Amino acid sequence: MAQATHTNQAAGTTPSDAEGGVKVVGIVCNWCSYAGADGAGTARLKQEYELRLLRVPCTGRIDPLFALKAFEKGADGVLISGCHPGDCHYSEGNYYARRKFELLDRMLPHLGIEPDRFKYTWVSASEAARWQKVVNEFVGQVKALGPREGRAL
Amino acid sequence: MAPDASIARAAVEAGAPTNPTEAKVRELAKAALSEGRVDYLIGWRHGYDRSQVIPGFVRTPEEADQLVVNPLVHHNLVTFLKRNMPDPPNARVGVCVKGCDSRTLVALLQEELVDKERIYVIGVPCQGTIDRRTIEKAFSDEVVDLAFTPETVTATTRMGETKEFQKADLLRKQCSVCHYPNPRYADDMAAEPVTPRAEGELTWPAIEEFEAMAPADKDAVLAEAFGKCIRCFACIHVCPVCVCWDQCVCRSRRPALVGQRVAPEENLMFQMIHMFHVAGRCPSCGACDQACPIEIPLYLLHQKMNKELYDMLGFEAGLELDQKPVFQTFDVDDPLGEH
Amino acid sequence: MKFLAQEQLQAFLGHLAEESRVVVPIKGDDGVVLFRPWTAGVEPELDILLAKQSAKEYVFRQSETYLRYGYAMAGEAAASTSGEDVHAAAPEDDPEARAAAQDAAVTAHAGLKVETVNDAPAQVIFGLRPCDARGFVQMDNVFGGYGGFYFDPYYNAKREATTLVAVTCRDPRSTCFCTSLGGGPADTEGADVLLTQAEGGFTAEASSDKGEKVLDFPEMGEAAQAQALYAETVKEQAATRVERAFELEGVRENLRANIEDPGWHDLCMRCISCGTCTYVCPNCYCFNITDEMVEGTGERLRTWDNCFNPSYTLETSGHNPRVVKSNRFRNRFSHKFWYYPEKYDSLLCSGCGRCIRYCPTKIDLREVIRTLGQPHPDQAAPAEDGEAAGVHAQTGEDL
Repeated sequence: MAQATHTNQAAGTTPSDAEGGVKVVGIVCNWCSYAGADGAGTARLKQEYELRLLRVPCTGRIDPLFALKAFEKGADGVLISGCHPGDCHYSEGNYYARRKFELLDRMLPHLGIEPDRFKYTWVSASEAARWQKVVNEFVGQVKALGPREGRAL
Repeated sequence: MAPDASIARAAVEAGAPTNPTEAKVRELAKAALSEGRVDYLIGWRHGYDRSQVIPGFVRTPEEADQLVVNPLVHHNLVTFLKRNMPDPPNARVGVCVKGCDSRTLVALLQEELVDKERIYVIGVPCQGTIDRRTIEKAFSDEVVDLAFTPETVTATTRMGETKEFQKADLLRKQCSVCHYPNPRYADDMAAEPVTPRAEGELTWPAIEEFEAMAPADKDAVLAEAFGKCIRCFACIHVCPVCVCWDQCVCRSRRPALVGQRVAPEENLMFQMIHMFHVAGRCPSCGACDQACPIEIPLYLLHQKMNKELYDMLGFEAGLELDQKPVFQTFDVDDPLGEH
Repeated sequence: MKFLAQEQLQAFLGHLAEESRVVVPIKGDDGVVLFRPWTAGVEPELDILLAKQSAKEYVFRQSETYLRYGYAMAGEAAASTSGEDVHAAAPEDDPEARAAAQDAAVTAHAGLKVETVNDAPAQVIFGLRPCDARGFVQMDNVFGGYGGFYFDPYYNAKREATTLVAVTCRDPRSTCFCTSLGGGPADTEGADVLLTQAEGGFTAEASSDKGEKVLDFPEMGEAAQAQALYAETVKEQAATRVERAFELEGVRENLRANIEDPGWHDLCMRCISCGTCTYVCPNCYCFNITDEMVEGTGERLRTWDNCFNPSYTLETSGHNPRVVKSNRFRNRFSHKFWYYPEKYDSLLCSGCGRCIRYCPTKIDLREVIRTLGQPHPDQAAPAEDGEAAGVHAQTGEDL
């Protein structure tokens, strides 16, 4: 499998498919994780740039099918992040959500998608450093697996 | 008024009851119809020959004599209660349910998708149903008759060839590990409760073999199985708890989760939409598996889904009316972390 | 009449495969028989009467891309126009002409690019039944410019490139009813070659030029008289085994007269409105056209549609004339036995019986035609002018 070699590539460029880069989609809640990601950017904390973010109001909005659709359309990894349970901006959204994400997490290997390609976690607005860590670890995990070759989904 | 067409044609007449449950179902149906408690009642009846069973709609006590109960009654009749199916829409409908069927009914009642006041439910404790297609494949000629004893099934073909099978070898996948053969909800029962084939912790033998495969091999099995899908939507429509019907997101262009292209990844996406949206309501009744004209092993998806819900939260769909569907509630102490 | 010995079958298929894709019924590991491309050594499944699906998907594909298109972005186009084009097109001292030339250059590079896709590989479909072959003829009427109507280049290219080798139905099923429709288990309509079982193999008769070409296989000899006689017996006996399902006399007029009959509701009570019957049918042909795009590029697809789908007649206004299931049910049978025959002078059914066999609830087309394709005792005589709205069964019921 091709290994991405662009960690030191100049900012503003992205790897093409042909070069063996991975595409990682992140779906994050506006109030905690997106703010946390913003915070990481403001603090210029260096992160793997293969992650592309989608912002939703709350993880409760996330239908597990969004992740499946992302995989179907070519994502090599999907990361979901929201407020910590108990701290949801809308009180309960993430309590509902985590049940769905857990099921999704258990169904993906069944569909031929390796477990390391999906992660759901909780990062709050003040945890910029933790965001950086989560991103670098996860994207690193996905890069280690390389672009996804299975195509049933 | 046109001749009553639903019952009298192209369908083999049933004779005298072949077992006590069948007799009781007919008796209960006759009572409901003659007392005017229902506009029509749905049970099972013979199809175009004695080896076929189809949903039977009876409107008069006389027609109730056509109802049968035998190992071919796998059809989940609760699907005829869901949105837009009752004809006319405000009809009072009687329905026969087995154990698994009753769980889908309970799931619908939990979400008030069926009006309890407009249905009359005959519960049929189930000894297990068989997959007729397994029998068909044992012959190149057409099977036209099936006869049953408690342990055996004897098939006869059009040219007169016969063969006996053991019922246990023909059981549908979910039947051999069924924990709930007795209906969870019924107004009247047609027989005494039966002993479940399996008790204690739930097991999922049908998918353990699949789970043990490497991701690449699983991928290959799924690509092949779902490459065959013709998107006829038989599975979706026959499922009692798949209720969005013409508003289904599979059919929508905005959002376009599934396109018009018929290809393995689109087909699997379409199936996963269905699975995720019935998660928490599906008891693995297997109506979808039976309806598929191409015999796609849909149980690989829905049984896995139910296994995980059971492992995660000890959840089993459709057991009690006052149970909350698994994704419509939460517990602050859910034992779920990040993954 | 030629004779193909059983031992020669693989060699014959190999010979065909030299110039064409060969498609045969194949039994999968799960026991399901489907038409699939043949590869050397694979035995076609000819004992099981019908493959689960018809072979129509090889000519009228289930989802077919027939256009590819893309929009070049104006910015890209502007960047690719060279200063020299513009200088050559307009003099320096005419800024308006210069601007117009620049615009023209950008427009020439930008805009929509469309590419037609119409691949039609040569193919032989081997092992289908006379009802399957007849289904193609019924679709040919729709797509082939019959009566000056629509001529479809995509369908016709593939149809031209396809040769049909049918096999006589020695053992028809109880759900077969081809003879009630003027067909038969050894009918040659639509087939280029008909193979019939004889001792040790098959007799082979060509009924077209394509058929003659296919039978030009050196190892295949002439049929002996005994083999020819055997084959004739097989054909005769097969025809007697197909049950008479209904009489077609007056079926169009009766369907018209019964258009408001409550029997339509009764007969479709167990229908679940899926699309199985339409998709397994050898001649159902309704289709959808959709554009699938991502940003600037996309494809135009033609895909099978089915008239039982609740959204089949959904209009952009949101109105749906056939939102009621019995209306959609009535439409399917009326299309096959009334509307289509009025236009094309042929039925849109070949009596294969797949719709009955594979329907999840065994809705029976024969039952429908026997009931609503026949006059009812209390029905008024059909009106002469044929305007359906003016003719009702005397039910007095509010539907």
